[in-house]
Amino acid sequence: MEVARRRFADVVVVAPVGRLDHGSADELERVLRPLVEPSGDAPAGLVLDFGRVDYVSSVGLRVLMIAAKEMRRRGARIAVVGLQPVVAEIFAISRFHSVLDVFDALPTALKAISAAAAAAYGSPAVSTST
Amino acid sequence: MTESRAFERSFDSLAGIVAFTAEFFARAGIDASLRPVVDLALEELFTNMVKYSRASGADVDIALTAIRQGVEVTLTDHDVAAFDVTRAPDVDVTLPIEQRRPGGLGLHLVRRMLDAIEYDYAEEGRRSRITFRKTLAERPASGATATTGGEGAGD
Repeated sequence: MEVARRRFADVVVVAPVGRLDHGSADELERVLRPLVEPSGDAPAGLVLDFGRVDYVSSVGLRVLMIAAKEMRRRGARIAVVGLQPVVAEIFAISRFHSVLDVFDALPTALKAISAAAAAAYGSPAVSTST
Repeated sequence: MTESRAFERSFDSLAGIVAFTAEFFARAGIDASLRPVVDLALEELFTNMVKYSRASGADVDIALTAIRQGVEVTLTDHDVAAFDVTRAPDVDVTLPIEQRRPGGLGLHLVRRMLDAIEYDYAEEGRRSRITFRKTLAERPASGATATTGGEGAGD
């Protein structure tokens, strides 16, 4: 699974591409772990851009639940944006709107999480991908 | 039109199952918008078979049948204990996040996203069989029916 990563001030945006299933969930968990665990440079917010995720199974939801619990534990925000229709239905049935914040688009999420990140959005961002 | 294939009881089989479904949908002319839900149901149900019936060395048979406006799928498992997926306890998704546990959402999703799911078990050969249907038609409110079953736990 290709996972792009960008940082806007104190918020990290993680954008996986493709299917979040039994074959790729471990990879996403590996990317998220250092971002959600407490550390000196841990982000104040994490946004998962699911605009290019067309499939999520329960093992993927498990990874998101673990990340959300960890972020909440250290008082940080976690959100998801760009849900495709089938994925949005899966979120609704699983009541994941109460697990992480759901926004239509990235700018809206950044604005809700951090003024600094919202201001940084549009400026050149630091990007990495795995 | 029906096609069936046997898959080794292993998580490594999941990629082959997805490919089998994609090829069948194309050959049978089934609406591609149904594929994510069919893939989801197959992944969740097959994964449960691998996780909870490790003692069986038998392959899992998967049959796909084109039906009006959709597809019917049958998973047949051999030499296993009964586990009725239509009667397994539901997770409580209304709990606050602090009380929710990661995992366990597979059957919760499957039972709500399919048109119908049925289970039957035969003592002879200890054969477990799940049949589900997904069509473009509106889902019935109940979404699930059971014919017989046993006890157990699953995702």
